[in-house]
Parts: sequence; C-alpha cells; structure tokens
Amino acid sequence: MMKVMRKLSEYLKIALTTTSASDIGLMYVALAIVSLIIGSTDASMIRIQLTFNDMSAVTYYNAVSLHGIFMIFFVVMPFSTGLANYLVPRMIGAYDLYWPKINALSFWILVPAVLMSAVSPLFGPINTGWYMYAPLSTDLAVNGGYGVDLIEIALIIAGLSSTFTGVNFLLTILRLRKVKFFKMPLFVWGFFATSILLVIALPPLTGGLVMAFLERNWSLPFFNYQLGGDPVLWQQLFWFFGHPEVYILILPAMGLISEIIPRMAGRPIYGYKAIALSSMAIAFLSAVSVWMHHMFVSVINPVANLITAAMTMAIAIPSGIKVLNWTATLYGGRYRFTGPGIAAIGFVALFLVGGITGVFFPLIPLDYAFNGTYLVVGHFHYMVFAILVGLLGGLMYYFPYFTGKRYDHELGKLSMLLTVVGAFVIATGMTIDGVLGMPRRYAVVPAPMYQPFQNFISVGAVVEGAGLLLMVGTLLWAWVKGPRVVGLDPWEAESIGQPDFHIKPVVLPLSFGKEMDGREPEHRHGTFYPSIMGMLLAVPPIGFLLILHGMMPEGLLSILIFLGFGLAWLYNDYFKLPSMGLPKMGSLPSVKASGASGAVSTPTSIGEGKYDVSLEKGEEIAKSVRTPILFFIIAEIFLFSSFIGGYLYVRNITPSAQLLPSLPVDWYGLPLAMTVILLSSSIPAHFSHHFLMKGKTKLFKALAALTFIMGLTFLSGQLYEFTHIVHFAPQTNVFTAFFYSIVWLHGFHVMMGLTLWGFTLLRTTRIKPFAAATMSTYYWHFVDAIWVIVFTMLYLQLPIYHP
Amino acid sequence: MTEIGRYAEIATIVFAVASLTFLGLLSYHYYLNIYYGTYEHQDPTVIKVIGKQYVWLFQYPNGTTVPDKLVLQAGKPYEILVTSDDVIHALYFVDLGYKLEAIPGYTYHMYIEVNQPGTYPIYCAEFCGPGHYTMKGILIVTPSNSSG
Repeated sequence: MMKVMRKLSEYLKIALTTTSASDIGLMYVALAIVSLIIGSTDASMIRIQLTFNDMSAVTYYNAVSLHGIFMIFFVVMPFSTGLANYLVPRMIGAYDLYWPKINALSFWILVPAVLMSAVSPLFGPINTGWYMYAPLSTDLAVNGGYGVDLIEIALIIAGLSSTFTGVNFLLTILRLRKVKFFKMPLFVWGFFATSILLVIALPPLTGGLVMAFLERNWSLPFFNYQLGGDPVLWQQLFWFFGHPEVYILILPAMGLISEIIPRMAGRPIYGYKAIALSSMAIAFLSAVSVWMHHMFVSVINPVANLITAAMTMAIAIPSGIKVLNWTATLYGGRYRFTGPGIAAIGFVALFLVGGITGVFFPLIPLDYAFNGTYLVVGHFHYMVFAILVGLLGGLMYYFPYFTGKRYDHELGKLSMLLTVVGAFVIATGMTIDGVLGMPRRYAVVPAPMYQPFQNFISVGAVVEGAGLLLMVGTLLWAWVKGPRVVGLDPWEAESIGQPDFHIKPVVLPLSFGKEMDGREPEHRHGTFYPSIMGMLLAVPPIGFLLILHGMMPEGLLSILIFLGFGLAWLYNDYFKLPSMGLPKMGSLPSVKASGASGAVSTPTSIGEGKYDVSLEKGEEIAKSVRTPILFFIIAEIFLFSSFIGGYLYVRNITPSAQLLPSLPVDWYGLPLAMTVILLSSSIPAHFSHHFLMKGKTKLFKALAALTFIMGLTFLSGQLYEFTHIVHFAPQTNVFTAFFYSIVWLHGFHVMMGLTLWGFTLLRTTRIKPFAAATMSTYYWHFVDAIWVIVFTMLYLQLPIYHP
Repeated sequence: MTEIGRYAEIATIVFAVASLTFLGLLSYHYYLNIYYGTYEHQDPTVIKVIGKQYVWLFQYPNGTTVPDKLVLQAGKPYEILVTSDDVIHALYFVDLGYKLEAIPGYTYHMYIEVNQPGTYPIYCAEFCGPGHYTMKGILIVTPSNSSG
C-alpha cells in the first residue's frame, strides 16, 4: 500500500513538473477521457429526457449546452492535441516541442477550465446552447448567476491555451523537423494545418467571449439592440471561429486515419501529396469565407450568401479527394480488420454519409427548411462521431507503444464495431427526424411522429455506450494484465516498410516519464512553474468578475497573486544567478539524450549566452525569434480585428446603430499629442535594436529606455484622458462600449509592450538581450500600427471607416 | 492501378465539381426567387410577427394582435415581417419548409402563399430559453371561397 502511494505521488510529481511532449500528450489524453465521461453523462441526460420526459427544462438545457461545450472544447481538442504531443515529435525526429515549458503551460491552463465548466451549473443556469447566442447568453433573466460567466472564462483561457499550442506546433514542425516536408507523416500534415487554424480562429472567439462577459457583468451593450448593439455580431464572431473549428476538430482525425489505413492495408498510402495538400486547402478555404453558411436564416444578403454557398461547396472537393485516396489505398490490399482497422473504415463511412448530409446546407432554399432542425444535428453527429472513432482508432493503434501491452483483439474489434454501429444509429435517427422537420433543442418532442426516431437514437446511445465502456475496459485490463508486446514493432509496420516513428523506440513501453525512445531517464523532474502558472491563469478573470461585482480587495488580490507568480517565474528563469547551484528550470534531462535538438529549444535559452556572445550569433538569435513573434502578432491581429471589425460592423450595418449619434469625441489636444509621442517612439525602438545588433550596447540601452519612457508617457496621458476628459460612460451605447473596449485593449497591449521593454532592459544586466530586444521591437511596431487604426477610426472618425 | 487510378480520380473530381455547380446554380436561382418574392406578389397583405419569450404575436392589418395563431387565406399572397422583442427566435413553418430568424433590432420579410387549406404547426427554431419548446403556434389556412 505504501509502495502504491509512493508511486502515485512520484507520478503526480512528474505530471506537475514534466515538460516532455510525450508525457504531456498522455496527460492531455487522460484529461480528454475525463471530459468524455462528463460529456457522455450530459448526453445520457438528453436521451433520458427525450425518451422518458422526466426532467426540468432548465436541467435539460444545461445538459444540452454542456454536452456540446465539453465534447468540442474539452474532449476532441485535448484528445487530438494530446495525440499530436505524443506522436508529432516522434514522427518528425524532434525530441520535444519548440517550447516545452509553454507546452506544459498550455496543458495546465485546461485543467481549471475543465473543472470550472464541470461545476458551472452549480453557480447558475447555462441555458445557452453550445454556440451561446447573444442576447440569450447575456439575458440575466434566463441566465443569471455565475454559470455562464464560468463557462466564458473557461473558454477564454482554453482559447489562449489553444493559441499557444498552435504557435508551438507550427514552430516545432517548421524548425525541429528532421524529415523533408513531403516525407512527413500525414498526421503531421493534418496537425500542421490544424495549428494554423488554431492561431487564427481562436482569437475571435476570445474577443466575442470578452464582449459577452463585459455585457453580462458591466452592462456594455455590445449585443443589446436597444442601445445600438447587434445580436448578429455575436454570430459573425462565433462562426468565424466556429467553422474553422470544425476543421480543427477533424483534420487531426483525418491524419490518424491516413496513418492507420496504409498500415492495415499493407500498402503505401495512395496519393500522399494529394492528401497532404488537401489538408492545407481545407484549412485555407475554411478560414476564408465559409462561416456565414451557419447564418443563411439570420443574414439576408444575396451577394454574401452566394459567396458563402460557393466556398462551402468548394470545400467539399479537398474532402472528397481524401476519401478517394483512402479508398484507393484499400484497393488490392489485404486489409487487416483489427480494432484500428475497423475504426478507419468506420471513419470513412461516417465521414462520407456526414459529407452527403452536409451538402444540403449550402443550397440556401433547402437551408431555409433544414437550418435549426435535427438534420443539422444528424449531419454534425455523423462528423463528430467520425472524429471520435478516428481518435479512438488512433488510441488503439498506438496503445501497444505506450503501454507495451497487447489487448484482446476480438474484444477490441467488437468494441470498435459497437461504437461505429451506435454512431450510425444515433446520427441516422437524428437525420430522419431532421428530414421530418423536427426543430433542435426541444425539451419535449413537439409532435408524436418524431418520437419513434428519438427512441431509435436512445437505442443507438445504449449501443454506443456499451461499445465505449467495453473499449475502455478492454484497454485498461490489457494495460494491467495484458501480455507484453514482443519486439518493438507491434503492428509489423516496420516490416512492411512503413515505420511508425522517426525516433525508433529502443525499448517498450513508451510510457509516462520515459524518454522519447523508451529509455528510463536518470532524473525526471523539470519545473513546477508552468503547471502552477497554467492553473493560476484562471484566477485573474475570476478576479475581474469579483471586482465587477463589488469585491474589490478579493479581486485585486487574485490578480496580484497571478502577477506575482509570473514575476517569480521570470526571475527564476532569467535573472537568478546560476552560481546558486540550482539546475536550470525546464531543461529536462531529455535534452542530454537529444543533443542536436537541444541547441534550438527556446529563443530565450538561445539568448542564454555569456555577455560576450558574438554579433554574428546575435544576428542569428534575432532572426530565430522573428517567426515566433510574427505568429503571435498574427493571433493578435485576429483578436484586434474582432473588436475593430465589430465596431465597423455595428457602425455600418446594424440598423439600430444607424439611429445613434456618432461618438462624441470632441477633444483632440491630448490624444493627438499622445499619438505623436507613441508613434514617434517607434523610431528609438527601431534604432535601439539596430545599435544592439551593431554591438553598441550603451546606445541601445539609452534608446530602449527612451522608448520605454515614451510608452509610459502615452499610458499616463491615457489615464488622465479617461479620468478627466472622457465625458461619457462606456454603458451609454454600443459606440461608447467599443470606444472603451478598443482603447483599453490597446492600452493593455501597450502595457505588455512596456513589460517586454522593461524585461529587455533588465536582461542587459545579465546578457546581451538579442532575443528579447527583437521581440520588444517587433511587438512595439505592431502596437503602434494598431494605434494608427484606433486613432483614425475612433477619434478622428475618418470617413473611410464608414463610407 | 496508378494510371487508371489517376484518371478515375480526376474523372470523379470533375463529376463532383459539375454536380455541385449544377446544384448550386439551381438552388441559387430558387433563392433569388424567394428573395425577390415581392415582385411576383404585387399587393400582399402585410402581417407583423413579433417573437417574445415564449410566444408568437401576430399583428394583422386591422390592428388586432393574436398570440400563437396565424390565419391566412388559401391562394392569397402575404408579406410577413419578422422581428423579436427580446432574444433571437426563428419563425418556422414546418410544412412550408421555410424559416427566418426573428432578431431584435432587425425586421426580415417573408413572402408566402399557401394553396392547401388546413392547419399547420409553427415552431420556434432558435433556442430562446428554457421555455423554447413551448413556443409553438398554429397556422390556419382557410379556403379562399369561405370568406371571399
């Protein structure tokens, strides 16, 4: 007993301190399975109500909302991110992700997010549906209490985590890849496309959620039509995220299927390049102009609708190409109908039927009939079940690697078969009710003719549940009691010339706390900082919630705790003297085994040189941080666009806002002076970087300090402006709400820029901060560029913004 | 396999593009008909519909407002103006295969003409709160000769 306890506490310590992608991947999968249990419980509640009708409507709708939120945000996304963490480095020969510590941070951010969402119904109803349409989500008569606030906070921080993950994987694949682009496994291609979408699609969701949060808690009328707000704005923002999101969900599963099918068929994948590039085509098309196909019944505009419908149909082509190539791979092979083999076929079948049921929606007259009915529900359940089956197929396929055990193949097959059959029964029942016209989200089936098919779905749900339970049971039993895998090639993939990994295992299992190749590391502990920081990220938003509800000291305290801990981490990683004899945090022992990859791990550890690092090296360091900072700036652009675009949408399109007076900005002196100061601060910023690169450290320091002071002047000017000059409250109407939120969002970014500059200056006491200076400079230019738009749009209100 | 496979793949893609284009053009044609419905019905009777948690209010031209009951005459054109007082709803005529969202601050037009007398259900097709499932109405279409 003591031994078990000691082992558990050792595992817990590894979990909290690890920065190895392999470990973090397994933790993601475990988290996804916990969420799957919660999401399935919600699904069972839905089935019970629609079959036996014995629940209150509020409880039923809580289950409906949470079922969607859990399955999408906390099952599929962590599951595929987890498999990517576990597989991508092994597949491309990287010994870890580009930023191991940020990877750990991303994971730990999700833990409180899942927890908050799980307990949210105790704090107030979540009668919103998973897409949380405003103004229902801001309607405090229905959704009072803190339930929706907790969900919003959870999704905001989960979105941040996903953006970090996206940038991290993009850099990992671009920088740490040991194989050529067109030799990368197709799963890596799939996740590469996913990562691009994570960077651009999540920030608008964050923006929209922040608006909804502020409307709920501070009465900023973004979506309140009586003060010029626009409920359609939420739909635009949400679906701009929402449609790329469905590809974020499915592309990794497609990647797994592209790995499994050729290995089960014993033939190389047919049309490798077509499958790889179609992932990129899907990512591109999904981000451009398809999101409005969710809104044919809420935006009536023939031109926009035509473009959306055409683009939506165009996206069927790359999807079809994938199906064709998977099918062609099967041709002439001897297919092994194992658990993962059945999953792959099940995926293709579900995806095919799901795709065909999806063709109705871009045909707008049919969409008028079927939007908001069970046909939509059926269509996406075919798709999400395809995703689930694909991910579980991946889990079963790689199971022998990470446990070193074999599971009973007959039971594995049976469980996967039940899962696929259950999925078909459920989604087909939904589709039939949809064709018959049954509207979604009815707590009581509206007409008797729909009831038989609802019961049919419930039967399918029982089959599905049996399949999932059997699968979990089979795998858990095998993990504990199963026979060991003989050799290092559980699927004979290597012997047919399709090895699974670039980093070949030397010993199985490749389990928790092991090296990438399966060896036991000498010491396994990294740092507690990312895990604690990740879990603390939930605290400042809760602090803001408390402040907005009059609990000022508690709120401030929680924000200060977060900031204090952040400072402690910064100090520990960048300023603590190495002579104190502590091992550098975050440098896992795996670096020792990986030699080559250790050299390019993080931009900050590159900068970790001596004071006399050569200028050529400095140039190299500066160059290497350009791409990452650019990715973050892209994500930031999408965040700002959701606010700036939101203002422009309301200003130009929203009917009720056209009746409002435009923003009463009638003071120009101070903002104009501040603008001049801020924009001209880009000049010392540029030259400080320039002089650092030339080795003139003194000039660099002076100019960086000048930039810092100019930025600080701008901020204090704004502080004066908002305390003494601005003569309207943010709650007045939608324009004032946007004025405050955009200017303050920019101000917050100035603060972050100042933090970067301050950090850079402090770093000069230790090293020549090539990396930090480059980051600060680029970021500063970006902040200035945004201000040009903000100033001309909100203060000068130039006519180009409202033609 | 490779050669034949490639041709088969290209042929399938071309076929898919062609059929999608055909379906798209056909549906867009009908969509424009729905959109410009006003020109076909020169003089429709205007009925205003206001969605409210959890009731449909139908305002007739003579000024009366009736909850959850829409009475139309068969074979006559109507213009229905859809809006909402609180949150988003969607006015959904199941048997007509037609719905539009009722969005606060927006008014959308819906042109309809029903030829078959009878009683049809009206649902709300956008989740509007815990009473969403009770937000049902009926459409009664009277024969055109009964009341002139």
